[in-house]
Amino acid sequence: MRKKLLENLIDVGLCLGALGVATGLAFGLDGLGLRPENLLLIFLLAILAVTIVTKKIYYPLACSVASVLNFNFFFTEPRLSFMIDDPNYYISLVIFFVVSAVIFTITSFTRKETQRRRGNERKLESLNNFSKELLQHSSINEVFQELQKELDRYFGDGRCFVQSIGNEIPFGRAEPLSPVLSKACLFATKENRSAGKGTLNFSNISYFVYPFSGENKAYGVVGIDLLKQKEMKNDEVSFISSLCQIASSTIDKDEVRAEKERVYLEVENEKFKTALLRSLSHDIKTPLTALQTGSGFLFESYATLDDASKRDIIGNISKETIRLSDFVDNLLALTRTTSATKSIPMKKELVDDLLADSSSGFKNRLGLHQLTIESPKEPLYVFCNGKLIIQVLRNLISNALAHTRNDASVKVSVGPKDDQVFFFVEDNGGGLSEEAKKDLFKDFSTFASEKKDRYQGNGLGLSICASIVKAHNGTIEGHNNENGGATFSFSLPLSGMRK
Amino acid sequence: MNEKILVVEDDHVISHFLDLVLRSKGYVPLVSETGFQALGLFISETPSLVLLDLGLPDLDGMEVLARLRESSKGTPIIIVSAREKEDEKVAALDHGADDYLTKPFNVGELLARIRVALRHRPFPDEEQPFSYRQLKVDFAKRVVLLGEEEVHLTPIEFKLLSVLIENQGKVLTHKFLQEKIWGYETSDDYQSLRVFMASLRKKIAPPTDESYILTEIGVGYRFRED
Repeated sequence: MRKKLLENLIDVGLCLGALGVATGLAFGLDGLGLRPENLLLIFLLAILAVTIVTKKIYYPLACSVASVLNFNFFFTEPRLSFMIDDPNYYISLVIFFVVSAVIFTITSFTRKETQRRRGNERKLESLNNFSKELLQHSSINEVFQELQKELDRYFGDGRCFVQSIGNEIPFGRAEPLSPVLSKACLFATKENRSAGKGTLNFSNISYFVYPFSGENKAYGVVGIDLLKQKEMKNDEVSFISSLCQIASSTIDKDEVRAEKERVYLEVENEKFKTALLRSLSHDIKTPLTALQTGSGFLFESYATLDDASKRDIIGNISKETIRLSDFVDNLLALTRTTSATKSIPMKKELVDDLLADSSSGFKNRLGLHQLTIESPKEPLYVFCNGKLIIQVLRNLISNALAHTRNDASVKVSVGPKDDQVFFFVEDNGGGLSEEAKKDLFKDFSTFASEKKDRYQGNGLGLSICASIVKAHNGTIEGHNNENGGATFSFSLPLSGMRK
Repeated sequence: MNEKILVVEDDHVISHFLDLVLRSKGYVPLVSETGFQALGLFISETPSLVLLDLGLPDLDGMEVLARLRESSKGTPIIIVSAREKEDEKVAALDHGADDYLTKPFNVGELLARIRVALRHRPFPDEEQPFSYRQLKVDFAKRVVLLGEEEVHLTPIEFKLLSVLIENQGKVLTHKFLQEKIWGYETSDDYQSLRVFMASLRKKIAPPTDESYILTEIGVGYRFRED
């Protein structure tokens, strides 16, 4: 209220000032002997100035009346009276009135136009800003939050809320909406049209609520407190509608993408499962056959067999169970690496620990083989899932033992290079054939889908190694070395060294 | 001997097999297929040792473990389970289990663990030097020999070795060792402990034999036992 009074006082001051300056100037020019008609133009200038700087219609109007009286009083004969001798002045004064009215009309029109343009610019800027923000946020909640922020920025803090369907507390509010406001929101989403103050429904509340929805479903409602405003202006409604459209299309896009991804994953998973099951049953059959025939034979002919044969059969059974148990370890490793939803838990592990754990338990399988472990001189840490990396090392070691001459030696060593740690499993027992080299780390599901029976025994082992190392952002490879054997190596990112 | 062993295992084949094996070794097995029955037997029969499966039909194995520990602090409990995740092992060990064996297991291994758990040997024995394969430890003189050569250990390494030997055959979690050696917990994944252990393992590594210290990644360490 006081602010308004002050504004009015300033405007009145401006008018008086302009008139005063004009009158002063007129006196000066009059003194120089200029014709009084010219002085009228000076007053015209003053009115133009008042039209531009003040906001209300009646200031320039009052000024033109005052100017006419002023001119009449001071500058027409007889001076210092409101009498006019020369009838020409009547015409001059009428023209003066008309001209000032025209000036006033044109100026106020342009002013309105500028205001409108400024408002549009603000809206455009806001829309632009909003779509830019949404490039970085795509989850539903983020979109709602950004929408609320943008509305607040435009209409003023605290006036707006964004209620998403299913959320109790709307964005921009600390508490749930009042019951009547909630009802209005519900009505708006159901009927898909605006409600609240200035509309046909719920016109008794102070809010204007506007629903927004995507292609297939409603997402929520925005509400703006109109305060003293009687209704939401048309251009503002279309602005709100544009904001909502941007928001809902962003959510739509996100939902479509998520759905596509889900379907894709499902299909891939299905493919994977089929391939896996096929190759697994194949892998289980071999040791199972040995177990079945061995134990069956032992059971049937226990009395007739000599001790040496019995021992031999039992020894084989026990070997096959180790193979099965290795196989189960690999299966477990596989389930840890392939669950698409969960990432593999990793920790900082000491390389020494990894080597020590992975090399134990091979003693009974060595025979004439030699297995040496060279642990690094410095403590090295790698960031990994210890259990899985041990599985890789164990697979590589048992492969080396299984596929080499029975007196070959196998060496496991480690070396840091740049920001990687390289693990090596080397042997001197024959090396890889050209045929074997081609398919070393081939994804076992590819193997399975080719339905080839040459995929035997540890086909699963190497491809599991590859998928584990890949999951650690490392690389794995195998080649023939200078010692007449094969070298397998894989790298893991180094996560620290300690002197 | 005739020590009673409570076998808590709900799979018939395995419990039958365990019954057979234990009987053949002179133990008296008491087989229970549910957690509640096991708790009853534990109180009425006071067995010398418990073999506990974690996957039981009525009670969760961890719950059974907690209740067994409530009624007796001293009776050794060995977990025999198909649960192979490291954190589950660590949780069981840190909640009072003496040892942990994952299925499928080797009978020899199981019997060794039972022997270790039943052994009441006061270690380290200041009077009695410890000797295992090529390793000799004289606790009174603080001398460690590998073959004929003397091995120089730092005080912490010596303490680590003593704790491992004292619990020979039992797996010791990182947490247990950390508290035993330093007396406080750390939040750095036991990095110091691991580095000391790596160094100790290297120093007492026999040139032509497997390491005497066994490592279980994510769980802890164990001193080898034949």
